[in-house]
Amino acid sequence: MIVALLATPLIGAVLAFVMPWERPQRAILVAAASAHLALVIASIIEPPGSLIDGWLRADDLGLYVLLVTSVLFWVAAVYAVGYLQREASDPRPDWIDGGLFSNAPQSVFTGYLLLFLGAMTLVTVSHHLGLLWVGVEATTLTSAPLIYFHRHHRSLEATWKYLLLGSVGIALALLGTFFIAVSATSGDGTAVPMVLEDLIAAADGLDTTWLHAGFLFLLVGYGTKMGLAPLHTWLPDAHSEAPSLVSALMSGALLNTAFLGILRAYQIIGATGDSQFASQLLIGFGLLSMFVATVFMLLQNDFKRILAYSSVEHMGIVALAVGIGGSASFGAIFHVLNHSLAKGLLFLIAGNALAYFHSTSVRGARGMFKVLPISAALWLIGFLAITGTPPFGSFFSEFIILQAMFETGRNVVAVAYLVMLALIFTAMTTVVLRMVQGEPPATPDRTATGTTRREPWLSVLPPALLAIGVLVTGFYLPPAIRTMMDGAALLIESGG
Amino acid sequence: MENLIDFLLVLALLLGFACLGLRRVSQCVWAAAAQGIITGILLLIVHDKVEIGLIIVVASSIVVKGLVVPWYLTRTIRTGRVEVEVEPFIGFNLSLVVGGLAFGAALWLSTSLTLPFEIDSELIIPISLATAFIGLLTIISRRKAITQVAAFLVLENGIFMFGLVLVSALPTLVEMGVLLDLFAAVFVMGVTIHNINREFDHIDTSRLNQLHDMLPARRWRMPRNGVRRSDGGGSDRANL
Repeated sequence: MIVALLATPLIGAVLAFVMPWERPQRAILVAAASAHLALVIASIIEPPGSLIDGWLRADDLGLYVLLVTSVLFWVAAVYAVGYLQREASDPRPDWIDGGLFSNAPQSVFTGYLLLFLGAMTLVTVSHHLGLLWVGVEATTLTSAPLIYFHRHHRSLEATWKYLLLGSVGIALALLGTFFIAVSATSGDGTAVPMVLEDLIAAADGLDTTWLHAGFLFLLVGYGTKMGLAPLHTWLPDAHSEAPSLVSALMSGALLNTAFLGILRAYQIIGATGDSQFASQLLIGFGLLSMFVATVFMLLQNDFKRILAYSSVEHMGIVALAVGIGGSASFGAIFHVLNHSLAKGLLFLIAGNALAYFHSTSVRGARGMFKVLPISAALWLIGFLAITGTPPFGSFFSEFIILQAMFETGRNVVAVAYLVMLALIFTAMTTVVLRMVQGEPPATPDRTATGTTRREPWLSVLPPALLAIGVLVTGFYLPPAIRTMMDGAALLIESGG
Repeated sequence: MENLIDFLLVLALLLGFACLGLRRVSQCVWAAAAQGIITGILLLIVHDKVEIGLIIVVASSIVVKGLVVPWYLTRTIRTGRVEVEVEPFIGFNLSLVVGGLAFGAALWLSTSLTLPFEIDSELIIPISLATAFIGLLTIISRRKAITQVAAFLVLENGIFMFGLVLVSALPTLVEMGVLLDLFAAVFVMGVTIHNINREFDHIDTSRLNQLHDMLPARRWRMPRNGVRRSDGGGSDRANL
């Protein structure tokens, strides 16, 4: 089963690369995404066994992140069909500086999308720390070409920053992995295998100093990929320049898989019985990320960048929640789902707005209700969901986390958390209300389409599904998923 | 044998400093390449018994880091007509001083991190950490994309040298993973540099400065006297 999960995106990618016509490429993309989702659901119903001495295994935590990834990928794949149909392949003038640019071939785009899915799947099923590291590295390499789909210099700059910072982060994570390997080697030179379950079983014999140093490097390294401040600087650039559906996947899926890498190390630390050090690091990085995101969101006038900073904020919340531990662990797990659904929705709508207004500035995309009514409504829903307004799922997850802060007596942290959430709410309200209200700007190149037109269903149905999803999680979680989430929360709080 | 290991380690450290201190982009590339070859040889020496798998790892490491990557980077330097002088954000002398401090920090770290088992040389941990720090420092302080890739190689070499303490614990698959990833990362970076080159006619990352936060916000007045300026009546064309 795990082999099938890994092979499906790979086979799809190979087919997409060799397929010369664009229409079948899109069919391959959707077919592979659907098959992947079906396999994930089948794995949840009947958990697959482990492979290669436990290197590959699907536990609750991994399956849960994989489910979020697969659902979001499926939605993005359906959206991609409409998106790629509308993308002209001829060179065309850049909206901002007028220079000519063209797209990467669509076969390359769909192929790398599927490889990206394969890499993320590998991260979620890896229980060997080295293999996990290889998977995270693969996500960087397969997503870089996606950011550079529109071949102009801004996307190139974003790709360069992403590759450089991502590679440095991944290098530090490798050092962290080595440190943990040292901690698992005893005086006579015999080593515990780097498989998660073996390390947890042998946790009492691990060298604490090396384990803690290893966790620190893994946190900084994978934290770079996850978007934790202060190494988040690639994130706003990459998210604002990548095609919107790629931004949705990076925010909603990639960041979670990077976080999974940190959680695996946290599981080992938890098993030693003293996770104080790691928890405080997570709380510190979480608060710092929320703070940086708040400051930049208050000053932001680019709607894709504000969404990117919102991802920094939410990753901060999740890291903070894991650091708090106790019932906040479930809150963190739950929040991952809500954030991914809401952020995917917002980025896809941002893509619709960008395609219509040809501008990522808030003032350049005014009056959405007049010209893109469905997108505008979904934009409002997404905004309410991402800021944690009831009755959306995100309200409940943020509330569970807040409650746990008070339960564990961290009142100062709780107050800071609330103040930042409130500030972010005002920042996003300003942006969102400015965009949906008012008169759309009149520009000469849009005289023909300046009036309301029917929005293509492929550009509004996928985000609408996500909107329904984040609304439903507020009221109801299917029992199978609820069990899986409880299991995942138990895994990360077991030592906390 | 231990003398040879120590000698190679010190040489690798000096090459790291060379990449930090030399003014020409190509010199830094070759320093990183020589360092890559040395780390490959070190891996061969540290192993107790020579196996086929080990020879493959060492050979591919030397070929990739010592030949393919520098060849590709120097070709980019040539075709891109990169000005060979590096104009660093941190001056050469100052960066050497900071590099020395990084070495000191690595020495200090290695005294507090004691290995739970015996290794061939006491120098492996301080020198590998120092090399990694120097690589990081070079990435931060240099402008040219090619220097940054070479500095990334130095960082990787440092981590690779740290891996020497784990030769018995780490299976070959992970070593192969390290190599494959190194190759893939440098390859993608190379492609990116090639495109940057074509796009800008220069490989100076300090000119990759279109993307930052306040660019559109310049037209978006922050409240000066407590009231945010209403956005009605402004020119929309200015935003597009």
